[in-house]
Amino acid sequence: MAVGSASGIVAGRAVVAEAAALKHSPHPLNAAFERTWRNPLGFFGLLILGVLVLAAIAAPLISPYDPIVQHQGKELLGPNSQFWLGTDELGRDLLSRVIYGARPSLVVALMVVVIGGGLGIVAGLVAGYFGGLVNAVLMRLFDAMFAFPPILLGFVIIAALGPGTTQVAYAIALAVVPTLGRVARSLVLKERHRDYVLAARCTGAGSARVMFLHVLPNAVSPMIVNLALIMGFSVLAEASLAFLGLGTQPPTPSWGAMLNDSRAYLRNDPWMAICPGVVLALLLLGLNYLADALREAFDPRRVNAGF
Amino acid sequence: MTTLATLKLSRRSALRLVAAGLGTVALAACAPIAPAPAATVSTSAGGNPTPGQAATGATPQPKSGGTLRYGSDVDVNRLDPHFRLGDVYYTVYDRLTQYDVNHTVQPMLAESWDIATDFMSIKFNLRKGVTFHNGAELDSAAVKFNSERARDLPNTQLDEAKWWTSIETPDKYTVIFRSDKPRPLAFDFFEFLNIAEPTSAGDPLKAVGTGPFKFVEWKQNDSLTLTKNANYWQSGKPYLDGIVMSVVTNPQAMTTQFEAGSHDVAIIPVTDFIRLRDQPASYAPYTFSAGNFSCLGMNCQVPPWDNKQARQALLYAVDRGRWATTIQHDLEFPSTLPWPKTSPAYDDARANAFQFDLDKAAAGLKAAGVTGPQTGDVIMQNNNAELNAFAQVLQSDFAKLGITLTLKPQDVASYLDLVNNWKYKGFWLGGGSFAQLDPGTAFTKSRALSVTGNSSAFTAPANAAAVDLVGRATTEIDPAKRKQLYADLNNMLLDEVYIIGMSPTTNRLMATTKVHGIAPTLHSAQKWWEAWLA
Repeated sequence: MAVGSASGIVAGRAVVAEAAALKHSPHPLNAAFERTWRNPLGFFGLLILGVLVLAAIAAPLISPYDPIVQHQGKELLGPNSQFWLGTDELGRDLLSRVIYGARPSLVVALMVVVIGGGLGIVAGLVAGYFGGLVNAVLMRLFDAMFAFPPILLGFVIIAALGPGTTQVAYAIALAVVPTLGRVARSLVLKERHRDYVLAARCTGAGSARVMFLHVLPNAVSPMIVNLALIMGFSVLAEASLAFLGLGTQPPTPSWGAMLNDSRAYLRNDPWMAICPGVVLALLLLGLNYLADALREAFDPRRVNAGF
Repeated sequence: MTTLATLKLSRRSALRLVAAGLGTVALAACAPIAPAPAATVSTSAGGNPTPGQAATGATPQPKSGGTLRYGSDVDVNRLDPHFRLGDVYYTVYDRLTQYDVNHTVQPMLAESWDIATDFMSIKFNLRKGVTFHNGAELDSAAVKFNSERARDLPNTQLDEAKWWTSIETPDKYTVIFRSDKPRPLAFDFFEFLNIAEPTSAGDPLKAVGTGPFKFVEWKQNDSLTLTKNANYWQSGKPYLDGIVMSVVTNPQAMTTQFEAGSHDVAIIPVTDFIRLRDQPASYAPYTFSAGNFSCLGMNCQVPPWDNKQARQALLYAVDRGRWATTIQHDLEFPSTLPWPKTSPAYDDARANAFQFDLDKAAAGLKAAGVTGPQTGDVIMQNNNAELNAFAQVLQSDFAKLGITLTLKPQDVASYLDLVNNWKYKGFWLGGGSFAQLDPGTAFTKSRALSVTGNSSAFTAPANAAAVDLVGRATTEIDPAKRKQLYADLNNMLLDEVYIIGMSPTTNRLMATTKVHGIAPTLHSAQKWWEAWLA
């Protein structure tokens, strides 16, 4: 068509309109998060996570009692007006302990995402981008780590470092590195031959710049879903290790340790197990729903179909 | 057609279902627990209930037959007859004599005995016609062999075997033990000297004694099977055809199995014991003192606990009342002394002399020069829920004194290694045994109480006076002087404070009502040859 013709003007206007639309369209990540928020499951997950995070942060303000204070003479009470969720075998308020018990779980989850996720993604990026010997060495290292059952790996690390919340976080972070590393590597393998990567190299960008400023943003979406799943795994792993006495040490409350302590009282005083168990289950449910919603939000077929 | 495969659940429906489920759970948690029925179990004179007697008032007659299924939380350590054997395995062996519950010596393999007036020799006249399970006849050579073996083996807790400078066997049924010092506590030694058939005693896979039950099989960490000794020297006994001891280390699993009918007798956690105690139609609780006691020890070589004055201050810092009433549910009584009330060394005033008072403890620590924050580990076995709970009580109370305790529950092997080899830097929370015997014996045999080689690293030169005192307590034959020595031993314990007593332990056994005739011995076991099944 000739420039200046009517059809050319219409075509030109369409291009301009599309450019304007692209300029004002939300960032893909923001759009995905908005889709997550609008998804009922995602909303539920975010709500649960938000409530528990707020409760953990505001624990000193909202807890009716100090969670480690033992109220003598008030042991093994059921829910009542003074202690809303009852008391444990040493007279400690269960509601306060459940609230404070959120802290180890959430702190561990956050540390695992940051440390384990960070190490895994970086390792996967490097392996996928450079390939060759670097890829071979890192992948064999991941294979070796996969050979260990995660809980056993946790035992070994905690045996070396001693029990405690931080040590548990390190142990779980190390256990998730190969999982995230492999995911990151597979995404990078797909992206590294793209035109924009070539273009970036042609402009003289170094490998680190290309990896972190060009490849990573385009590969981050599936990793976010995995990170949400990793958070759920971390919470459960922390509770499991605390249940075994390897995590948060008394008197600091932890849901897993509370479940362990409640075993001797299951028959007569089941609320000691129900309270931390329900909250732990809620958090895990919320994180799983959130991961599901994120997966749907980042699904390219749904995105392109306008869902 | 609608099938499970074609059913679709909308998100709203799923959320509604989850909310309904959570609400149901919350309602269940808030529901009041039904009050326990009042306890109606009758008790015999010894404090142990007698099943069936409450209903009819008549004593049922023993019946022969049946295999007792015993649920144990610990396994047999080894088949060697000269180590601690456990409740069931003891029945494979007899001893020369045994105490009754009144601490009176009763004949067993020895029919009679003559004690020299200076207590430096004892002559036993053996029961004739007693045979080991392999048919060999019991004779004086076998008795001598067993005593000498116990003397020569390390770590048997039968160190008293070294008392005997000679063991004479003038004939087949006479044994004379001679010592260079008076041995008024000799029968405490014989209470634990199992008589095994000499050719099998060193065999790790064999167990041959003269006892009411014969060894059949031991599956480590699983079960121990015994069968009736049809040729037992006590005519008509045992009543049972056999005993099968199953090892269940998980306390909750033990209770579940017991209530499901897998065991006739079981050692169950205190909370379940209290609950089942209130069901007399189905269960019969047994409590007895086996000489165990609970205590807190500390490493007496690690500052500040190498300072006796600092240790004395801690006598006020241990809340024994809470241990006995809250954690042990009133099954035990608080005491700074390890002795049961039936012990000649029990002293009510001394037992209650150090009531829980953190202000006094703080003042004592200050007077001892212990200022500034202190830290320490607390080592305990991880399979004891009561000790683990009390460790948190100690942690909370000691924190108020500026002592930060780090709790370190250990598996049994690690715990024993740490405690027996003094590898801990703080405290150990556990117990001791042999307090049912003469205090002189307890201070010799019990690793917690011993003034040489104890778990608290209480050693020379600090223990010199204590060693001398215990030595005199094991050789003094004058009853009046012995009584004074008991008081001196208590004073020594409360002065040196290498352990802090919490309470004498009340051992518990829960049985179904079809088990009768359970009676305790003074060597931490029951007289299973007198038990029978209805």
